Amino acid sequence: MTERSVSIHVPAMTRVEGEGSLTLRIENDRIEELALDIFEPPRYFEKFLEGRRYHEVIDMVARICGICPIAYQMSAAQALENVFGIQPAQWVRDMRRVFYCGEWLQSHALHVHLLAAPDFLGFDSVVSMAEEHPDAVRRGLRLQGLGNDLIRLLGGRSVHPVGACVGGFFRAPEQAEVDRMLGQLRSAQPEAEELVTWAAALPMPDDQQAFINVSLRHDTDYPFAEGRIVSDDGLDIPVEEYEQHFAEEHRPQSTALFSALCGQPYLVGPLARLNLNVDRLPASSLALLEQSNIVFPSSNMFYSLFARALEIHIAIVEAIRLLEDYRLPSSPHLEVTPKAGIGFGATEAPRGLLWHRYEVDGDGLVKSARIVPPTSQNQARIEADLHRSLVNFGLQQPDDALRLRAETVIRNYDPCISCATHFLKLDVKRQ
Amino acid sequence: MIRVIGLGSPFGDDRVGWRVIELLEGRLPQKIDLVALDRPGAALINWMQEIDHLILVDAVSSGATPGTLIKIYPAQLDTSGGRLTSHDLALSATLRLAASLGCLPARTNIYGVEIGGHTEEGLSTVAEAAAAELASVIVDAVS
Repeated sequence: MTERSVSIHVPAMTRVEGEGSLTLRIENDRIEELALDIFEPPRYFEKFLEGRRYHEVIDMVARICGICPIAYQMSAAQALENVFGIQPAQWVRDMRRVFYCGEWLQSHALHVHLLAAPDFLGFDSVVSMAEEHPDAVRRGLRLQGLGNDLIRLLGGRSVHPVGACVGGFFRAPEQAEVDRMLGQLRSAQPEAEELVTWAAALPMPDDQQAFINVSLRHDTDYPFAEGRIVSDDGLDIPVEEYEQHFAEEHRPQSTALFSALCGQPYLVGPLARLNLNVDRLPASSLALLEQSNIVFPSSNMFYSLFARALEIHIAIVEAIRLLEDYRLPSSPHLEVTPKAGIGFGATEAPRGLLWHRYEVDGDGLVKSARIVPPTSQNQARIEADLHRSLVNFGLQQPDDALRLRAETVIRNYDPCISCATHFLKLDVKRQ
Repeated sequence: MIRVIGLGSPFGDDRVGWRVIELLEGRLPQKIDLVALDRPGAALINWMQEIDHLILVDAVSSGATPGTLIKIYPAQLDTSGGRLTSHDLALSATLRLAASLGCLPARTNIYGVEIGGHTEEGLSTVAEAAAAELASVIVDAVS
């Protein structure tokens, strides 16, 4: 009997980002154990939030993630407004969508060009890829910078933005700032079109698999910060019913909770969004999709990269559309009067559905908070994908090849450890 | 053009790079650009355009005594950890990517401030003193 015990370990990361590990035990060419452990900071924040005033929540949750602070702010604002019975004005709803476009742009541009593309073009990192594909890397950096500029327009600064509040924004941008931003967005649009064509031409493994897609769905638009929660197996619920359908469970190897929809793993994120919302694409994005010859809905997980590329285009097109109609509001936010209650919020973070629930007392102090981030929702799905991908790839493959395939599979989900998986240390024990 | 960038995050002494930028305000010639960035990752490269001399200030954790100042040149940065990344590219990988793209400023200096485990709001007194010392070092270096 041959037993090969492979444990892939990701050591603690620099600064505050995540840490994770994958343990893989192979015996007689069968996977006997496969356990993904992702460190998950939001869990600690849920406790930090207790006893805080409602308006502090928006600032605090922005610190959960350096890459997607807006997602945390938008889900929290929506949930707290839900507690207080507030419906923000159309201006606020439009500007939240623009704000969110900035976050998708910077996050997706980074992932597509700097983190994922080296996997598909055969480089060990973007540093070596940059020597042969400098134009692609520069495009990624420009689009990421554009996203940061768009975030700065409404958030005051691009990382850990401070512009959002319960009820809206602290400040409305001046028309001249909006006009400058529009100019930048319009000149980037052809670059986003090129990006979609480039992404469609990348060599992708043909890896069809069955999975449940979950995302928000809006009445008319591609979902960002509003909508009902839907799946492709018939789920269609308002945000407040999430807990009745989705359960989380602890597993011993992980600080994260594993989510399941009626006991099944499911997918959130760009591929799930696109799979469920092809009929909500802006016309110009739909035209690009049709030219690409890639058929959606797709059950090839690796088309997540293409979905991100197309969502960069959507973000630019939507930001242009909304900013072209920009008018200075009489006030950028509603006045808020706290009241006791429970509220729910869900928006589409770059990595997928981000669900919040808050219970607040009559003074506006948080009594309890629950935050379900996309990475923990995808965790069970990533494990299922790893299991079948590694079996398909061939368990007899050398450890380095197995590790690279595992990294590629994990990174494709853009989890909060996406780049940490570049850091995998392989520890092989043989008997 | 000379640009000084303080890198950091809102967590405890990790904001020491931002503090150095605050302390430099008003003490350098107007033509020197001062910027504080929160974990920019690879987007740092977008701040290198048309810069001849780049000075980066960041918190470091090397095991030295907290408050120790370290001057690092890009060539000295760890290259073995070439894949060392967190959410985004780490500073060493970002600088190598910049070099690979031909946009690393001809003169690039990095000043590190050793930080301990202080993660509360605001800076520890040790980090505050180190920030003041480093601000003076930078004033002397570019004046």
